Amino acid sequence: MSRYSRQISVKSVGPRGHSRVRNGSVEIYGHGLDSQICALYLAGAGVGTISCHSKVIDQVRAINSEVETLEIAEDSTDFRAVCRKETFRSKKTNELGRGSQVARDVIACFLREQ
Amino acid sequence: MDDSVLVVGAGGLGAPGLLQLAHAGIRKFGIIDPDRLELSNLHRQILYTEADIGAPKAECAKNHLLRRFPGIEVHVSVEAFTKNHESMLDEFDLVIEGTDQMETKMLVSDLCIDTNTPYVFAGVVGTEGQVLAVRPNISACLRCLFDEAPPPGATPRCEDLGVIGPIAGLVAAEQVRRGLALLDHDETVLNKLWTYDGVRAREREIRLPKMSDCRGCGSRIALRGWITTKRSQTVDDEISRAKELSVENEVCPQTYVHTKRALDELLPGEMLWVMIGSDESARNVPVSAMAAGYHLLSKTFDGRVHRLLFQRPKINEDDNV
Repeated sequence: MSRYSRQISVKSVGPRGHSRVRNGSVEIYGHGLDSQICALYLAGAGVGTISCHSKVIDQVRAINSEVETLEIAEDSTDFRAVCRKETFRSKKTNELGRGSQVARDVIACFLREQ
Repeated sequence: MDDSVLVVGAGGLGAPGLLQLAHAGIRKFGIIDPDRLELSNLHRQILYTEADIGAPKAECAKNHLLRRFPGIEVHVSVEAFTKNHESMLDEFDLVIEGTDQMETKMLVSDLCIDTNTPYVFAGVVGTEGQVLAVRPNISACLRCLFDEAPPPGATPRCEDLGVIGPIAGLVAAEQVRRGLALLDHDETVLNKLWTYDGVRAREREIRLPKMSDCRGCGSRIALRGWITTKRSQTVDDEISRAKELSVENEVCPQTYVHTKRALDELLPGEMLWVMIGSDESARNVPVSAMAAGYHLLSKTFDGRVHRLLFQRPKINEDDNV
């Protein structure tokens, strides 16, 4: 069974949507648990290139060695993700909620592409 | 924080939930999961790494937690949850339930009621999820919602409809939030079913009253054993007699108008299959029907038609309809 089979099985994703995710790139700022969770979900989804803080990069590589990683020099604790010129944030009350919400929004952004 | 948490199912909900619970200050954990990590788990079970593939999830979860949070206490059981785990429930202040099998969910619910252990049920499949926090004998339990587990194979699972990783994370985050609220004796989370629609990014709370004659926590609790031994045959018989309604060519709100009319004509305990073509209606009709007091027993999708199985509550449950 493939690494992404569960994601491709989702009706609103499918092979085309998954291909868009695989071609996507995202920058994740911050290095707290919310940033880590966001990066891990996006790495798990197979996003092509993830730029993040050096403290997060090893975790991304450990969960998905297929993802290209780039290091972001900015040492900001302000968690946010940027892709397709959009910036995503979340007001969820816990770190898992914030990281998941932003990762969900980034994937939705990729899926919206024509 | 001196509270302890038992996590049943260290998968798409339990694995990220453990991370958040440890981060929130929980220092004693129990983890029950019989499965080994597979490659297809990694997109949503973010506690694990590629190096864990093939190893028992419970053991991997313990190792990763100890690496991130040295000094915490973690007990693991690499077995399926059974009645033999009842004594383990006594050792924990809260149970986080995140398995993908309704039979196991019902068993966790029943044993938590019996041992008076607060628990939070959660489920996620496709792009939708639900969370229910339960304080035994005070608030509505899982059987107040579902009465009994549908037959194996009757409900969709991740293998069938897939799941989007961050949506599992969002559901797990809400499950943890409500679990921590239970530990803080915050009663505002009780008697509410939280639902999440990941396509629309929409959250809802549905009021769920405690059923006085619930088989899990009410006057019909003695029927549990009977249900366990007779369930499959009984449910199969009831399903075979279910009526059918097709609203495949209708759209909202006509889908619900027709469904509600047919549900209202059912006798107590009778079931109704509803075939729906519109995805939007397939999301909205069950929410409205459940809010009206009907039970949703099964929901499947064959790529073209959604098949929903409803049941009118049996006698004495009917007050809510």
